[in-house]
Amino acid sequence: MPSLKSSLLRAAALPLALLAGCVAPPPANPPATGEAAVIEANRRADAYLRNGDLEGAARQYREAVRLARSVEDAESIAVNVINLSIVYQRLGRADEARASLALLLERGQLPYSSERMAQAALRRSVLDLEERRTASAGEWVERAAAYCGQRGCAVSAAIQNVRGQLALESGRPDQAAASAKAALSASRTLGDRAESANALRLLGTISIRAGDAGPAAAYLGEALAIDRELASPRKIYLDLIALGRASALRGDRGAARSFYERARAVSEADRDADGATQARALIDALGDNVQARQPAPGRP
Amino acid sequence: MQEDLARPRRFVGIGRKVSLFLLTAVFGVVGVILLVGYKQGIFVRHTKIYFHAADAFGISKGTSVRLFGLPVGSVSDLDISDRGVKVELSIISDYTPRVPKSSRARLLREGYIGAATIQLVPAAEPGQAAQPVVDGDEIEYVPARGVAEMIDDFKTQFTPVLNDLRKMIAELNQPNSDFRKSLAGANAVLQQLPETNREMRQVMRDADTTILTVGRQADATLGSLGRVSAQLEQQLPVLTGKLATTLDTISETSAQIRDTTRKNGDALYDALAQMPGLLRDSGELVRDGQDVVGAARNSWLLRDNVEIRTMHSLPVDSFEATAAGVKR
Repeated sequence: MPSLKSSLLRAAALPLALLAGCVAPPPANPPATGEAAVIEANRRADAYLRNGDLEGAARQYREAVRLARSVEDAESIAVNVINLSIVYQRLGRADEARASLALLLERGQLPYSSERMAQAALRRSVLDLEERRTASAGEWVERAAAYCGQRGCAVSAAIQNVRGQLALESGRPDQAAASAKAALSASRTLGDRAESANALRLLGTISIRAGDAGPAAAYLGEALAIDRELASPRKIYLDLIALGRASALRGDRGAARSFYERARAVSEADRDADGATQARALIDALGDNVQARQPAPGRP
Repeated sequence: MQEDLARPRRFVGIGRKVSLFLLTAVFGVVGVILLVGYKQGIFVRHTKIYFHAADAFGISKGTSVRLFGLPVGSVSDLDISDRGVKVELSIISDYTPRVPKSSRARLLREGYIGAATIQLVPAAEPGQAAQPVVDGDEIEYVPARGVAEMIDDFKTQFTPVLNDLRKMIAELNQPNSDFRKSLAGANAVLQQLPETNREMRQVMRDADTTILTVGRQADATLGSLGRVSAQLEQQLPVLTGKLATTLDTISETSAQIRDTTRKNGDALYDALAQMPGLLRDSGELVRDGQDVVGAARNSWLLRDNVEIRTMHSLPVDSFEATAAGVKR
């Protein structure tokens, strides 16, 4: 009996920990509505893009499009659809980029401005050009030009540059040069330095194809200077590769190697594995023979 | 001889009484435990869902999960996985019909140093049926924007404004700018103003002298006229009287004009004397404006609260491509 008592007493004497507490809920932020919500999503996407998070940017642009569609804000829909197509293309998802543009180009029931329609059609043309669908790219760029009108618009220079690339792809260097020069003139009128650099790069590429290393180096040097001012790593890479090819064309192996090395350094710093691989291959090819340094068919 | 000890009567049944007392205490403790458990929700059915986050900063076990601001559960487990950190949420099953599968979770903080909570945002995609989450479902996690990101965002938007202001101030400070030329012209005019004022006062004095001379000549003329009038007194007495009255009036008017002109000259002189001071004040005002702009650049209050909300459109580039090495 005494042992039972003592065990019960010990059991009763066990300490109990009582937990209680509650936290007052913080006031929830009121949900943004209408245009403010669209702008908020657009800016979030922009922040993701600056941080290199393309998936996050695409998600936010989709959200912005959804919010804009819910209030039938045509301008916001157009802006975010075009932005979304650019992000999809950078992600390598061309089909989804086309599908997003279809909202404007094929199912456009809202009064989108001709400027935005021109941009959307041009984007579609650039997508097709990247996949070598020259016929479709040609149709879309002409539609973009039609939306742009006779007096021109903000993407006039880009339209001419795409026409030039298409002509070069089709083996019409004269027409390509004419388009590139028209693009250069239009971009300088509009103050669009990125398209000026694109036009100069295209002129350099055309000169390389024609075997004129001197003019090519001049055009490409000018393009490189602009792209460095604009701090565009991908364009700088393209300029350096083309400058290397121009140097190889005139037989200056040392200069070509230097340009390719610089291109490799730029692509590695920009985390562009494909670009770095291509630059390395060009450097390796320099060691073999002069022919290897010449531009391959279909490439500048 | 063995002595038989009788148990005292007051201890009869003491064992049963002590046992009853202890059992009551045990039941009481168990009751308290059950009550606390009920308050903590262990008798409520929970549904476990999860999401993957890049990191778990700000998230810990027990972090409150809220739906429309109301607490509906808590973080029950955190684990490192191939996709970052797997965060398991324990949601009260009564609320799961309000949480569709397409819901997103995001980390909210009450201010920069407040308690963190996870907010569920039920965002149904268009065309997708709003099916509620079930046990084991994964939802999407939207990372919160950091302070550095917000500062960077603000910096991106405010930099063009500052650049414009800097350009404007630089243009104002340029020696050949229109503003500088205007100031230099105004200074030149003001430097000439005292000389002009002196010349004007000289003109006033000359006019005064001239009027006095004219007055004296008028007196002489009046004398001549008096003599003539004396001669003509008999023929034209009425006419002579009227002429004298008229000349008196002219003399009074001349005196009044002289006084008024002197007063106006003094007022003009005072105004011109104040002009250099006003110009100096304008210069100080411009410098103060520059100081205010400089202070605004470093003001946390302005940088945190002024926000220009515009839609950003990405440039449509004719050389846009998936990656640099892919084409061209």
